[in-house]
Amino acid sequence: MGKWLCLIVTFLLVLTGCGTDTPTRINTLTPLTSIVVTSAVVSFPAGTSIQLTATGDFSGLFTRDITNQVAWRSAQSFNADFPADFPPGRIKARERNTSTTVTAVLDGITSDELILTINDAVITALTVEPLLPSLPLGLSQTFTAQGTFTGGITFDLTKDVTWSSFDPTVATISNDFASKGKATSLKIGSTEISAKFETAPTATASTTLTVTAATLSTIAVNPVSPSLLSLTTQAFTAKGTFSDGSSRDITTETGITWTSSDPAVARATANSITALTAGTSTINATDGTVSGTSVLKVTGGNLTNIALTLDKAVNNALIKGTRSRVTARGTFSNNTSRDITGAVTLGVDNTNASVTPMSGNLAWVQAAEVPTAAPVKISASYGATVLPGEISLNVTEPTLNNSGLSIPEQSLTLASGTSARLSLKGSFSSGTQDLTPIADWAVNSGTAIVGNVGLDKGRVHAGTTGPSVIRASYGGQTATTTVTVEPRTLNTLTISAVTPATMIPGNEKQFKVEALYTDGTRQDVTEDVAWTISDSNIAKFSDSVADPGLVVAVDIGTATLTVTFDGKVDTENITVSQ
Amino acid sequence: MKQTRSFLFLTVLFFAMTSTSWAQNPGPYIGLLVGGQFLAPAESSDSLGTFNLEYQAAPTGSVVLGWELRPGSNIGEGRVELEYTRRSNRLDQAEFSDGKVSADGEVTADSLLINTFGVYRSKSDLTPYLGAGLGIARITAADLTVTGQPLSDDDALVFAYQFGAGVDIGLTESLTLDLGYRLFSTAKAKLKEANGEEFKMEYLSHSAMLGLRWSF
Repeated sequence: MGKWLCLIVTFLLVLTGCGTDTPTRINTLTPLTSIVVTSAVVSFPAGTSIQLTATGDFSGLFTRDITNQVAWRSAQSFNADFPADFPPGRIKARERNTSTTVTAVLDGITSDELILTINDAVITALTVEPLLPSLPLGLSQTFTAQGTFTGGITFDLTKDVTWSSFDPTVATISNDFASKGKATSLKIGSTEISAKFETAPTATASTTLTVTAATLSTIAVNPVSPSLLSLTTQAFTAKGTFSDGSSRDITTETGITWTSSDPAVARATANSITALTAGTSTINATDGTVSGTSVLKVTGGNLTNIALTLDKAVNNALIKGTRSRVTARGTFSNNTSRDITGAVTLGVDNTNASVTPMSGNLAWVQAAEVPTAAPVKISASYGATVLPGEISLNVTEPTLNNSGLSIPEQSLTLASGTSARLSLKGSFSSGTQDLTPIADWAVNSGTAIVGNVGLDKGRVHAGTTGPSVIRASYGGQTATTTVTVEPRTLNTLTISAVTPATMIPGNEKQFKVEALYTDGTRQDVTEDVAWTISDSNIAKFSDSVADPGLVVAVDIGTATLTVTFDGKVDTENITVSQ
Repeated sequence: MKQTRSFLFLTVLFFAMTSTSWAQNPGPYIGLLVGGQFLAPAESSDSLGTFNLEYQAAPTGSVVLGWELRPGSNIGEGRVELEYTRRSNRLDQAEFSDGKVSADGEVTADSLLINTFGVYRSKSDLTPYLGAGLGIARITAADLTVTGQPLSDDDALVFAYQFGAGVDIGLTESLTLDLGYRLFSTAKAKLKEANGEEFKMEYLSHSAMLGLRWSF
């Protein structure tokens, strides 16, 4: 049956592919039998020119304009002739009070004679237009000349006068027939444009052409057709192209206004565009009458709920003086959830704790004092349509046990150029708490380096080969661990990922990278590799600084995730479906 | 009215006489088909541009020599045949950018194709078939003129192909009536114009055929 279908489809394709188009070839087979020469005027002043038309009749079957094919003849060429630099059929009058007989010849066929009269009119006035024009640098302006002759007859003399520019460095003007009277600006300034009717009595007219600064011609908005997750912000740029062909970045120049066609979908704050709800909106960059656009697609659903978590708190309690990273996680209408800490407004209801947003999705909560009454309420809000997310924080003040500090990561080995995270566990009278973000980290001995600021606290970077002793201090106590750097040779990198296996716009996926060394050892190098994604319209990094390897799907398609480290590369396809 | 009744009577009689035979006569066969064919307006082109040639419909005829596969054959059910066909049409009009003008002359395609047809057999007396053929054709442009002026008088050998569909009606154990349609086309024929310049001519023909095949 499949063979039959294939045959039938092929058959139909052939059938539908047949047909003829409108012919492009003229009929050169049917003999020309007569030529008719016509003119809009048959009497014209000396020094002027008029256009004649030759129409061929082909055996009475059809006619065709053959002005450009015939040979034009003026019987009294001293009175009027066809100049070589004029287009076919344009005849110029020379001698006043005379006449000439014009014919057109083609393929042995000669037209009927057309008698043209060169009358006795002389020019009385010559004008040029436009008067006093301004011309932006890089643009052209075509001037026209009109002559008034005795008897009040007017003639368009644009093609019959001689044009000149007083300062050709400011603007030139063409005397070629096809572009006669066309001025081209070359630099800012003024020049006098003159037209001279050369046939006696001669006449001259002029005007001043002012070349102004180049004007904006077009605006190109970038990115051109981006996809953005709701609640994310992207800086757009505008590149202006000017009348002189130059271009520059005009993103923040005075006069440029940024707007969003649908403010409910996307909000424009200058060139900073915030995606709000799923949909499309056209982003416009406008300067006067010139504008550029980019169609923005907002993906990832609409925000429906916000939930807060504290990664170092135990039962929502932090010990006085310690701190924890706070994360706001949004749930969206397309059943996805993602970190939106960087998009929400964080707050506390009293001074017993404080919240400090950092860059990206990083924010800290600092436990300051033990509340005397109710716990501290931490909130995250976004707009007025979604209820703020809230979490209650208890600040406690237990006693640190004797020898109450420990670093779980003991006898850690690292390859050169890599890093690892150490943590500090505190044992208190009320229980334990991770003190990594508040401890004071230092190196007792060795060449390793340990971070002691922000998220880098406890992150140890390999130095030269050999052991290093790392110290973490808190509350007057100290814990130590040894980190040994070993000389390993990297063999391969391998990207691995945790669920979800497939992604829809708004999903997050944490990728990890494992290094396999030639000695058979393996090490997590997720924080050490360089991460790139081929198409940010498909997927992007949630926060490349605070959460390395955390990818969030943006729009349907496939992008390539690439990691590079120590001369090795691994890639993974990221497929986002609806 | 009387003629209509006679036609209906003869038709019923014809099918009544032949209804006992299926259209399956495995083995070699020869056939003769005649019909009418319409040569589609064809685009031609030379260095000056494109122009269209329009033709008059004309009769056509084919002779075939083939082999019908037995039902249930391992290589399928149908037939393979060698077909010679002559299609000859008078040129009627030529269309240029200036408009249509009268034209004259004869364009003939003599084709030799190898056809394969697949058949769909059922209990019915009618056996539909569908197939295609490949081969060569000689396109002859004889005394083509446009408004009396010579256009071309030349011929060319070109690649040819066709698609065919139709229905077989078994008349007797060895005789089969074939009612079919053929779409025949060729690669563009390169011909000389009267002035020596080359022009390319498309060729596409639709044919309705009626024929008899005798198996032996």
